Amino acid sequence: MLKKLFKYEWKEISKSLIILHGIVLLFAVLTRISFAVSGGLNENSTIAGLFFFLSIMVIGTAAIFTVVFIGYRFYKDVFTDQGYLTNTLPVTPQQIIISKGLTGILWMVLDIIVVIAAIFIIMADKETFSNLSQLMKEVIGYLFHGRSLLTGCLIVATIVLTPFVSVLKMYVSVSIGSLLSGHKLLGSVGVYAGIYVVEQIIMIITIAVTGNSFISSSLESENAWEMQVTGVQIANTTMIINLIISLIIFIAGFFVTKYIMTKKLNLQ
Amino acid sequence: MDLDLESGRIIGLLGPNGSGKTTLIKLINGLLSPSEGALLIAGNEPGLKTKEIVSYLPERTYLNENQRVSDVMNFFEDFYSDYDRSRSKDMLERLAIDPTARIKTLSKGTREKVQLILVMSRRAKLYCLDEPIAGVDPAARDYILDTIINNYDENATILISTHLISDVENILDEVIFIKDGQIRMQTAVDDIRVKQGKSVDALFREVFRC
Repeated sequence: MLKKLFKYEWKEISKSLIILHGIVLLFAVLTRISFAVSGGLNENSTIAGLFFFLSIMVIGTAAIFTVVFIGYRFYKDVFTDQGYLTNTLPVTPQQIIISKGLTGILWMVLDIIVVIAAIFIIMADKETFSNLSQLMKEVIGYLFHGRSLLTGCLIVATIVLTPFVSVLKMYVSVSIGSLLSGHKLLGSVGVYAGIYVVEQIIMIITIAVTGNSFISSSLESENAWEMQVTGVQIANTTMIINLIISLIIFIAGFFVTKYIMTKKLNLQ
Repeated sequence: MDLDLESGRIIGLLGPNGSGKTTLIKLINGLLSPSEGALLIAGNEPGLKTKEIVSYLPERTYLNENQRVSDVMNFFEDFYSDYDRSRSKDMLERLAIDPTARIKTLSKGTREKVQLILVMSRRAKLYCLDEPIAGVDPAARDYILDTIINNYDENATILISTHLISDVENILDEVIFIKDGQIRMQTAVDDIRVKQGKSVDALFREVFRC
């Protein structure tokens, strides 16, 4: 059943998103062509400048729309009239969350790939690739070696976890928003903003506390190497706390969403 | 509320607005959870197992407007093992509904017919039809009621909630009168006719006189 749910959700969500990301790539190609014709961005290349500006706008819109659309699809399918069908299918609420969540995560990753591809189409030349591969080698060499290994692993964990947490954060916001008798979407946005604010407050406190210890320890130390080590430790601590918050949001988000779908479904 | 529904009967769930008909049907379909008490369908609480055997027609249209009628048929075929596509095809043909039409191009009444056709094309054990005929014209109403009777499996139960009592009373075996979430009466239609010498419609007006 999970496979079937995934199939239908993928079909439904991809209709709009394929068109949107097609437009992103189209604008990137047009910008590249206009660059080639006018010889790059300069005072005489109004059209190239216009295409460049439009490309940036389209890329930004696509990125925001993708995230919002993933949340909206969940809202529409589960909490509006269509919920009468979705919630009476012979499937469990967790199967619905997982199937929709996976399509959402996949599209977030695809969105990033398309955006990177669009930037390459607009900007890249032979040198870019060789410079970039050199840079990547250096970054990876630095991050996954010796003292920085933990930082490298934490960065990878954060990157991998981000789409999962983003999707669940939207799902739980939509679910809590649906408990209102009216203005459910507005309520969902409010819940999302609330979660965001709490996250930020915890992060600010973390940075303030760890930053404070950094300043006091660096005042004691005159050794630049020690200061760098402390800096890495602080970055690691901040990332670990961020990961813990993300994991809590992810796990709590899943169970709260499941609970609301099972026990507190509030279809009009 | 203490209620027992036997299999193999067509039961009318009748009551004034706000009496709790839709709430009861939502409880049966797991869209609401009881704050207290228990509700069992073939021995199971509403959940995965009961959703496999209950075919539900809500009063809302749940069809995805961007899909074609045939897409929704594929969807039903994929998710409900008891869905009989040939039944849907026959009924759509009889009501002159084009399976390739997009839902958004259909009128409100036609959408309701499509939904009812899908729901009645399942070979379910329990059908819950919430206001199945309210939005359709009288001619289609007759066809739909015929459809319900003709597709009626001996072992299945049909629970129909409606205001339009005179339209459905000929097909009902049993009626439940409900008000303020309480059962006011549960009786066989034949008893009303034979013992009390009244139609269900007349009795309803008597019981629920304002």
